[in-house]
Amino acid sequence: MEQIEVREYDLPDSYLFKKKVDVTSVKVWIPEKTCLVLGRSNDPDGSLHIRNIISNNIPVYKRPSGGETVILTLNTVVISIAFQQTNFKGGRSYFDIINNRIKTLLEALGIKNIELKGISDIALNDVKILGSALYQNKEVVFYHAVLNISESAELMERYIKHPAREPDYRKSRKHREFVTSLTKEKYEVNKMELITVLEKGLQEIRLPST
Amino acid sequence: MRYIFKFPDIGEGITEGRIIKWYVKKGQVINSGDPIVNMETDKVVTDIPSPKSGTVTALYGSEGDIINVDDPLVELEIAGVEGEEAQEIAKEEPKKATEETVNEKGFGVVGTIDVAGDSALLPPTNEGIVETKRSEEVQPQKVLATPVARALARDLGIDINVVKGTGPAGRVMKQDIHNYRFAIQAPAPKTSTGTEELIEYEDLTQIRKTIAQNMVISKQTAPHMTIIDEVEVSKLIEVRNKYKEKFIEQGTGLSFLTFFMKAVTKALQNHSALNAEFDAENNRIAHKKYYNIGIAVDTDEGLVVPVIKAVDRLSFLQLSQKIDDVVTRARERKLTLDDFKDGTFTITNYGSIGGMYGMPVINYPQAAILGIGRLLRKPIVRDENVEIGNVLPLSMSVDHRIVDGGEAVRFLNRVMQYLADPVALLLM
Repeated sequence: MEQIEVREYDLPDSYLFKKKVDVTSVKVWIPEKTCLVLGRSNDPDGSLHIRNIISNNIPVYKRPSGGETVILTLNTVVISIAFQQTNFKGGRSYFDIINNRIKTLLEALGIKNIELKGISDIALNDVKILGSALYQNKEVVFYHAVLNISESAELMERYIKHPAREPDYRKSRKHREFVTSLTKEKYEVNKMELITVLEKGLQEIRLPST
Repeated sequence: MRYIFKFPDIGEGITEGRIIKWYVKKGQVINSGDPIVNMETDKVVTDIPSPKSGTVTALYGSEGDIINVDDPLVELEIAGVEGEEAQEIAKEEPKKATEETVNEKGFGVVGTIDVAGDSALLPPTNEGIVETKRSEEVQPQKVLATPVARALARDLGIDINVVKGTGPAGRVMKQDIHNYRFAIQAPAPKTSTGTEELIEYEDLTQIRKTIAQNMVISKQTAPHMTIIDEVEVSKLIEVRNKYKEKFIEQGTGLSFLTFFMKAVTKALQNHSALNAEFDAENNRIAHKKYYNIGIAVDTDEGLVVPVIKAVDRLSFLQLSQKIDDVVTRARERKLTLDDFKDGTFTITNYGSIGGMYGMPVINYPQAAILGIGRLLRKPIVRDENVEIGNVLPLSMSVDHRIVDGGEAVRFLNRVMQYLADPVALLLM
């Protein structure tokens, strides 16, 4: 039986949900190496092409939040935000507020035809460009998302199986038909500029208090 | 009075969720706002707070179970509501079980949360007003166990239902699985040999773990078949000796490995089964039209196999430079993840250290590996005369699911043809 080590999530944004936050904390970052991140209840057998992962020695982590498995590479940008817990509404509303802000910020960078899709995706022309997930406990609401700058969907297919659950708009499409990147959509993005814009713009988010 | 708290829609319009972790147990006294369970829905993992204070009398579902929105989650005994009052409440028309705002504001992860739906308020005991099954009756026939214990039992092939749990409420813990395993294996009593102090234990390095893992996967997955042969390479030696100085002038050596890689690549272009991968999940064989050759490098830390990509498109000089580069970086531990990716065939040149033949282990999921032994000067028969030849021993293992014996021999014959007559590498 092929087995794989699933590591505890200790990527650079993990500090955000491990402590109480008093103010909104935003970290937008580029992963240092390729890795796979399972959703909270994903299991490697069901979600990953284990042989390919073992043969390429790709580390696998399990994050605290929900959703399906994602790949992080040098060609992606991760957006991580921690809010102080309040009595505010649950998951869908967080996704709507944050992803709408990201949409606005991307539009300001000249990216067009952006839509919020499914529960927590952002798409360009009906093809996914960003996926997000949420974790919350008594003290913190932790949102994180992966924005695909230039990673190939073929790499995702190499490591990630078709997810067990999918949003309606996916319509059983394979990764290569369902996922795109800014580069593939012909947008030349300066990563550092993008990170600066996102960090500044997301820092300003204020959630309704009730 | 008993109170049943149902799994609420936590704001996504979802219909179900998975129990990740219980924070409370039967008999525990909790306050309104205390987190009782960690739940996962499609995209969200969240703690669910209790809307009431009371004593937990039942938990509905085990960790890992999926439950629907509106299904009972936890049952509480709430002090201060008794007798007729409770019966009157229980007789009330069942409340619509959606989207009612929680009154308790002490703590709330979610704002729209279900409070006590159908038959949620029960009389204390046996009063026959509304009968709801107790948790023991409605829980699925699944033994209580931690997720780690379940995973471990599954991996070890142990039926978790026969394992006696020692955790809370008889929950099966990881250690219970280990204990059960050791019990059924009934190991022989350990006898002292007096050698323990002569054993030095070495922790596995990451590279050693990876090697071990890959070797086991390869041997357990791919049925290996190994063929061995010898090739006389005097012409190859001549060519190499003739040109190696010119390569040195250009800053690189000309090793035999360059010729081996070129010969293998040229042969792979005619024998695609050796450059393939067995795709069991999709019941097919993937024949690769690119030629990325891995070279096994012996380093101080252990074996590594960096890959040189598109060997078919490299000149002898370019290939020699690439070999120098990866071997140097391998020994300096400067290889990156990309250096190991996407190999299609591997060469292990153990002859540079010594040894003639081997049974190399395939670098899975590749289909074959060629082992090259130490160059020998030994008698050969040429034109009915016995001469001293330069003989190279070759050992090749293939994944017998993909490569038949005949095809393996034909491939090796072609490699040998190129090594015996290296000019053919350029002409044929």
